[in-house]
Amino acid sequence: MAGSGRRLIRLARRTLPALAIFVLLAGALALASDAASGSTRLGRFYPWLLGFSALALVALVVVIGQRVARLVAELRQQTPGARLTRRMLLMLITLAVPPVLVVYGFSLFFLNATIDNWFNVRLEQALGDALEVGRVYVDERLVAAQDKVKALAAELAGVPETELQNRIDAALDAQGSTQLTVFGDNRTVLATASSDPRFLSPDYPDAAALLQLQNNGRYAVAEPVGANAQTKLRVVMPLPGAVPATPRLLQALFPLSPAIEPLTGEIEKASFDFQRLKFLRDSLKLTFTLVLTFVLLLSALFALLMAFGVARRLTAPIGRLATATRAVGAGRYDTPLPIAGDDELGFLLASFNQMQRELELADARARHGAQEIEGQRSYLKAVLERLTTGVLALDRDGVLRTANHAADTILQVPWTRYIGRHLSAARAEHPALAPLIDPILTHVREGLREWREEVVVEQNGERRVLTLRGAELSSAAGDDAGVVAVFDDLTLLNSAQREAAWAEVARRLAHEVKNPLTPIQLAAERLRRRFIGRLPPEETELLDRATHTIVSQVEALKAMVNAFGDYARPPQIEARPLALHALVGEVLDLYENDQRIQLVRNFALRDPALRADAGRLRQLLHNLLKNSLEAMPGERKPCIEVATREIVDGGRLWVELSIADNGPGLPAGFDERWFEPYTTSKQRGTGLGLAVAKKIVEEHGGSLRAENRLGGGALFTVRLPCDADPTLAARTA
Amino acid sequence: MVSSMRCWKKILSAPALAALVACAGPAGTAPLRIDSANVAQGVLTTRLQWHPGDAVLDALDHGIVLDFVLDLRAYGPARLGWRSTLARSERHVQLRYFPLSRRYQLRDLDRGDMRTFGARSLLVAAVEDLRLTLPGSWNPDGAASYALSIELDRDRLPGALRLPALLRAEWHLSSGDYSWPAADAG
Repeated sequence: MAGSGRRLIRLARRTLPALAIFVLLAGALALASDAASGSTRLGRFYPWLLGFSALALVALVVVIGQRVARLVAELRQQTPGARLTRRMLLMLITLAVPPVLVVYGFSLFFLNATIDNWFNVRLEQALGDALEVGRVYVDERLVAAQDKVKALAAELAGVPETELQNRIDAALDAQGSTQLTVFGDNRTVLATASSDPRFLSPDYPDAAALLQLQNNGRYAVAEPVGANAQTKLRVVMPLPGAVPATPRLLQALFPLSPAIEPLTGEIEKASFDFQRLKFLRDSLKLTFTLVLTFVLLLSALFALLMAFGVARRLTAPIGRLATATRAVGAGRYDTPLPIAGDDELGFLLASFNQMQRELELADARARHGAQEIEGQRSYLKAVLERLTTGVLALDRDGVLRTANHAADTILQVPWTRYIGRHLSAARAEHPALAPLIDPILTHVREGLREWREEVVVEQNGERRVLTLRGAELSSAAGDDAGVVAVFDDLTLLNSAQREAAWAEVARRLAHEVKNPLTPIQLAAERLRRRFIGRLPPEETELLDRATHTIVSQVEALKAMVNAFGDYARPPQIEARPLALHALVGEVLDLYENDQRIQLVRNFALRDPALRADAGRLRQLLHNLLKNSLEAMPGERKPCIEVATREIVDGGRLWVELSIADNGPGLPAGFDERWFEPYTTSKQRGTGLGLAVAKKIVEEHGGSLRAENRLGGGALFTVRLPCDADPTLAARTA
Repeated sequence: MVSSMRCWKKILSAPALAALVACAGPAGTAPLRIDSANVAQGVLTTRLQWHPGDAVLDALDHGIVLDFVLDLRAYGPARLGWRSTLARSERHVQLRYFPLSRRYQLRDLDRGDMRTFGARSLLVAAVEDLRLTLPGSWNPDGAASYALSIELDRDRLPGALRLPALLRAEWHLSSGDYSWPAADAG
């Protein structure tokens, strides 16, 4: 009920102004028609219409002013649709106003020309002449009437009052008059006769007539008489012989000829209508101009108001569309647009709503997909981070996209610094990584789908063997996603595998080879005891050399087997706090008596505190010293320098024990494999010295590296972790 | 009712008059004024001063009929500032020119009485000295005062002349109210 009421009010608000304007326009046209016809039928509506039109004009101007002000404000606020409204409004005004002005101008011109054409000069002359003819006729009839009245007055002179009525009655028809009256003193009617019932009551001459009568002796005029203003000839004369103090007046009314009177009436009417129209010409022009101007202003302003409404109605959906578009752009899809109609604009709004719904769905799907991708990425990142394999992902241009933690660990490079940069930047800052980076970049350039190779990286004095594998990354859509390079540090793996193999060999040697050696040695010694001295001297000497060789070689074999046994022995160190300098000093003291060599001690000021197995460390020192001595058999004065120092690396305190000689240095191609068993450059070495030394160092959590000295000779450096308490060594000592 | 209609007409035409009539120039002295009036024995006698403009006289000579409305009211004694209208009568007088006879006519439209004049000045003089017989229904018994106003009835003008008459001051022929006490009042 309330809704229908609101609809009615809305309908009334829309239609009533238009209806009022229409009524005003219709009224203006009716009044214009009324004015043109000369009618007075609608005379009393003129002020009303003028007032209402003025009010309507003022109301329209006020409403349009409000609309213009609102539009200006919307333009300043850059309200969506305001500029389009202005453009449409200007377009509508441009389209509507010129034709209206042209029609207005032509209408005025046409009206003025038409009104002017009404007043033809010859017609006016003809009508004037006709009127003059009528006047001449009337004047002639008036002269004739005077003569008749004069004659009648002469007849009535001296007639007694009692006879007057009879004489008048008789003269009425004879004279052909409408009315004959004899007035006596004091305006009394002495006798009267009338042939027309409308003129039964005679009118006494007024003062002007009496004055003229007194001056001229007669009064004769043609005058309109009666309700229909018929032209009658009135002649008044005094009766002769009347006493001046009591004059008698004879008044006669004569009609015009019945044949002529309508014509004179028509002539008078036509001439007078023409004169009236001529007089009203300017007023008619002014009236038409005013009416036309009012009609123009009302129409133009109403059209302007309608243009506002039309422009707003057309642009309102576009403004809402712009607002909704901004909302969609901001990611809000909760602004469905009302469908304005079934036209193209309605289709556009419906399409927008559909697009909005689809965008909302697509956005939800994209968000869900992004969540899934993020989950997968996190999962992949977690997997990558937990991989012990280093992973580097690059795009086709060689720009690093991803690196995992294992890559940092293996190569000791913070790869996150280089994400988004070309891999050559890392190569420039870390030249040692060239063996790894160069093949990656080469393969990326060559566009190989997969590759695999083994590279060796020497970094910080460490030699690392890496297996490098690469593969082209392709998305499901077939897009080129770049390359992923995966690398593993095989150094430890290889070393561990080889160590395990050597340990197996050592155990087999210890088990399979060492056991028969003792019977062999005993058998050889029994042969010596039994047959030496019993055989001829030549044969005795041969037997002696042979058995001696057997015994010595068996000893050598035992020594080698023992060495293998040491190597194969599982790590069973008894780490205890010890004073390194004291232990090194004890070992060096054993070599001090050898005059062939020169020992140089270059210990750190503070005795490093560490926990280690003293026996194993002694064996380590012996192996390294022996290795140095055996490496320089031809030196005239071999010199071995033993030094210690404390360093901090990776936030931890280390002690480095270095043994340097002045021998020929490391053999060419010296690498990690030289620390494996049975790798030696010596003629008679077992090849286990460095292997055992390395094993002892690693059992203590340290590292052993070898390098050439700048001034010649080899340098072996043992790095062992120090005890956390720096005063430990002092307490032990 | 008639009075309220006129009031509204004035109000409604005020914006147009305010905007357009101003161009007609100053009104000058009142063109129509009542000098005296009297009601005695059912006859209204009034003396006016009428100075018709050239446009009005020209219109008369060109066949435009001029109708005047005389509004006569009889009021009772005033009580608390309020006067009751005891009687009211509107009289209509018409002026016109006949070119054939070259006569001016003054006519009482209500009674049909007419007078003709050979000169316009005589017509004007006749208007300035009006005697109108009041209708038999006129009964101002107990009247304490009378009021009379005379106005050109512009609604009776030809349509083409109506808007100019509305806009031009010389066509605004209205005397305003003239009041006088009743002779037997009091």
